[in-house]
Amino acid sequence: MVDVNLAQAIVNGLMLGGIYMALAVGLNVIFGVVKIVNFAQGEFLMLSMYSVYWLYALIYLDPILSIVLNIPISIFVGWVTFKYLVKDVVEKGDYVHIALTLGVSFMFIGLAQIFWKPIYRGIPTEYATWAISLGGVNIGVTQLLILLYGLFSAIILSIFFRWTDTGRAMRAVSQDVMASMLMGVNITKMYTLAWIIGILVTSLAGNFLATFYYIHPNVGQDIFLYAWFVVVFGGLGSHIGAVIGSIILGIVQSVATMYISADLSLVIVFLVFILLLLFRPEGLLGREVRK
Amino acid sequence: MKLEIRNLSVEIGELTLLKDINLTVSEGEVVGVVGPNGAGKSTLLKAIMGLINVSSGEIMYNDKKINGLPTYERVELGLALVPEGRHIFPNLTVRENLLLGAYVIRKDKKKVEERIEFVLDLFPWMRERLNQLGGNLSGGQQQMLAIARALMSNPKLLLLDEPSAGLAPIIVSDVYKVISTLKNEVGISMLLVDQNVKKTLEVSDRAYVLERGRLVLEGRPEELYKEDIVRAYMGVKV
Ligand SMILES: Nc1ncnc2c1ncn2[C@@H]1O[C@H](COP(=O)(O)OP(=O)(O)O)[C@@H](O)[C@H]1O
Ligand SMILES: [Mg+2]
Repeated sequence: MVDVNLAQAIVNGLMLGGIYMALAVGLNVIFGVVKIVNFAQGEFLMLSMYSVYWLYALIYLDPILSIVLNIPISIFVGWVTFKYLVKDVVEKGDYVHIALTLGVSFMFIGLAQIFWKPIYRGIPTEYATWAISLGGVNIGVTQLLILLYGLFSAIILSIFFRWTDTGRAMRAVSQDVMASMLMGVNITKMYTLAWIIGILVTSLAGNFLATFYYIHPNVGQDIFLYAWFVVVFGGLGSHIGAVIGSIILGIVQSVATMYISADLSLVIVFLVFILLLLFRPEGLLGREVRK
Repeated sequence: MKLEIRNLSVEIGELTLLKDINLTVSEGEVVGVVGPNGAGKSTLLKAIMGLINVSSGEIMYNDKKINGLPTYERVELGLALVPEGRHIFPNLTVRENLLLGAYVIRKDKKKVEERIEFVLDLFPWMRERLNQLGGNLSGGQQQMLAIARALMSNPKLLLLDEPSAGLAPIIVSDVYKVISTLKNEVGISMLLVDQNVKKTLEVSDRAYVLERGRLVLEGRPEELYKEDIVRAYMGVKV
């Protein structure tokens, strides 16, 4: 006999994992190819949620429908930020990357607080309360959508990296920049593209998240740390690892919260994380860390 | 194909890596560059590919000045380098490594398949290993893969940097057999740099001796071969 409460906690955890997944996959693309840990990744999610919010507030555009507009907007934002903020520091090493992306992160949060005030906003969609009931377990439709979106983006990107000329070239760049140059690959173009893809994947998660989650200048920060944890846990650069890591984190958090306490659940999650890093620094599915 | 290097100098800060280099490679020619460790041989090849900035002088390819062009444009023009240390992609399969080599001709799927067949004829053992990761090949196989990969774009001029370094003598012979085949049967122009003076001079039509960033001798291999000076410069028995 399956305990309904446990089943519900697991389902909730899966949905929570969906949120991490969408962000983790975007982070992973950028880290995998450009070798930058983008501390501002969460802020791209936040900005996207605001653009979804304003499209709703000003022209009543549904958050899911506004994906159509959010695609060109995010590509543009990705392109501009790469060209004017990231491009010149790509070769500069981790310290500069951390300082720059953290700076960008704080700047975006600050700007959001100035323009939109640190107040919690939400989009009251009709379908926010829709749920599928399966043997007493409720599955929120909007949460299910973000989980599906996370899985979908991980699968599409895996196919892209595995089977297309550009994806293969990006994998080559991630392994050996000089050799890739010698193959005729335009490195700057690959970095730009990977950055844009990473921003796009994360930004579109904003459309789904905005259907049921709060919108606030700090929303990206809150999710980013978990997503980053998931990326390291799953194995840097591994999309499947990010998917599995997201699901595990979501479920452990959700189940531990239900049966123990929310605070203790974090302790447990990060204890597991630290132990994994001690015994397997490359993460669950990561390749050996190369220097 | 014609490569003409005029008064080329490469300086990094106070260091002069190359000074007033004049060198040509004509159609179908195999040109060797020999010289001791640290002479600037790799720097010369990197400068030709645009991996390192040139301080002065000109690199002319088919009468077109190419210094200043990014590396990928030089590859598109028909240059290819097999770099020192092989630099195959360890986490790509052999087939994927070859496909990367064909990156500049990727739009022409039929041509890519033709080139794969061409390199598999040259390296028949590779056929069974197409799905293995490059990093799992032996050193000699990796060197062959690096050469095969460079040939995928059907280059007009192939630059080879130390293709025999770190390989067992029997493998070195295999590598040079391939280079001979490329010379005699394919007729591809090559600029070859190797510590193995004997092998380099055997396969070259013409050779230069590079020492401390300067070309100090040029001639036919037989001449250089006899020159005591080679022995003196190289510090090796030939
Ligand atoms: N990027 C660089 N910066 C400073 N010095 C360099 C650089 N690359 C090579 N050198 C130096 O230039 C000299 C020539 O190097 P290299 O062209 O690799 O020689 P070779 O290939 O003939 O052994 C060496 O003394 C080397 O240490
Ligand atoms: Mg060298």
